[in-house]
Amino acid sequence: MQQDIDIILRLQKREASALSVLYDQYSGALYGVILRICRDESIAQEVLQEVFLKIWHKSDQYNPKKGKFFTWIYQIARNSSLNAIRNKQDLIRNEDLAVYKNVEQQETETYPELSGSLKTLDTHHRQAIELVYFQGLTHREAHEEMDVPLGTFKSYIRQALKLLRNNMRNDLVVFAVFILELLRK
Amino acid sequence: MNKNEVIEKGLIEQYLLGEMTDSEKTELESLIYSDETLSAHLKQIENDLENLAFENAVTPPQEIRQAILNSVKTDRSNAREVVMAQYFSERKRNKRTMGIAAGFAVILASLALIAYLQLQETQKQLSVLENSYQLMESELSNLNKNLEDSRKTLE
Repeated sequence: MQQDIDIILRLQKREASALSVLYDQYSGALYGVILRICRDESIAQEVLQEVFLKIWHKSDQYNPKKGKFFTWIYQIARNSSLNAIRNKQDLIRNEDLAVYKNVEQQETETYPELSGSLKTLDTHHRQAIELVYFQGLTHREAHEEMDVPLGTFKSYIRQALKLLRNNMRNDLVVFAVFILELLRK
Repeated sequence: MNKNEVIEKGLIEQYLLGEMTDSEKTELESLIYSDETLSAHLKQIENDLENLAFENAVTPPQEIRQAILNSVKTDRSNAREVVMAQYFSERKRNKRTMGIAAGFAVILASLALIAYLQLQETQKQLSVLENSYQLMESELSNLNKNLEDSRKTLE
């Protein structure tokens, strides 16, 4: 944690080496989100560059008292991705149908499947998280997409996060037991 | 809005996902900062969302890293050029200011010199006048003395 704060302070002092460390640390997690929102590899790569340049230029706007660094950069990535797909949709509206079909085909090809503890969730919990976190929909848009009342949708999100947390805790316990067994041998 | 409403309405999730307006954010932030349970809840959800992103990470192509670092270097050298240009223009402006200040100083020094010379001249004239006055005073005293002597002789 202290190490993170030091790196962020170095970033705020405009040290390029700090950006390089943060890129190595967070680019994968951000690219996973960006790629799933944009559903287009070339756009997602442009957005990833744009996001890190924004992080570089706006680092002084990050306030550690308001939350984690990842939350701040996730919001930048989400907004940049949504802007990029909005621009793409504007472009599609001005083009012919053939282009639209090509883009749609490309989208399904470049959408990586979700993995990790999300896979252990029930479909409705997984879908709720996927819509708001990996597709950038608002709660209002997402509850309409799932065709459930807004209150129900919010409880899906709450339950899903709780289940994920418990799964992670269980995994940690299993891992600790495994390590202890190894040490005993 | 109370603590339970914040949790039950999923407002912290919406806040963290960036779905709130600035005024909604400010209102919620003041509640979170004043309540330890809400602060802890926020941190917990932040961790959950970060874990989710890391579990679903996708490695980007290697060339993007270099492209970003190159942009930053270019940006830094451009910034350095801007700083140097600002430094030189500042120096030029300072030189101009110094020139104007030196001009004023010369004018002030000249005026002071003129005033000094005039003062010296006035003092000289005053001293001459003083001498003349003393001379006239002694002459007047002699005349008075002569007048007194003449009067005594006549008596």
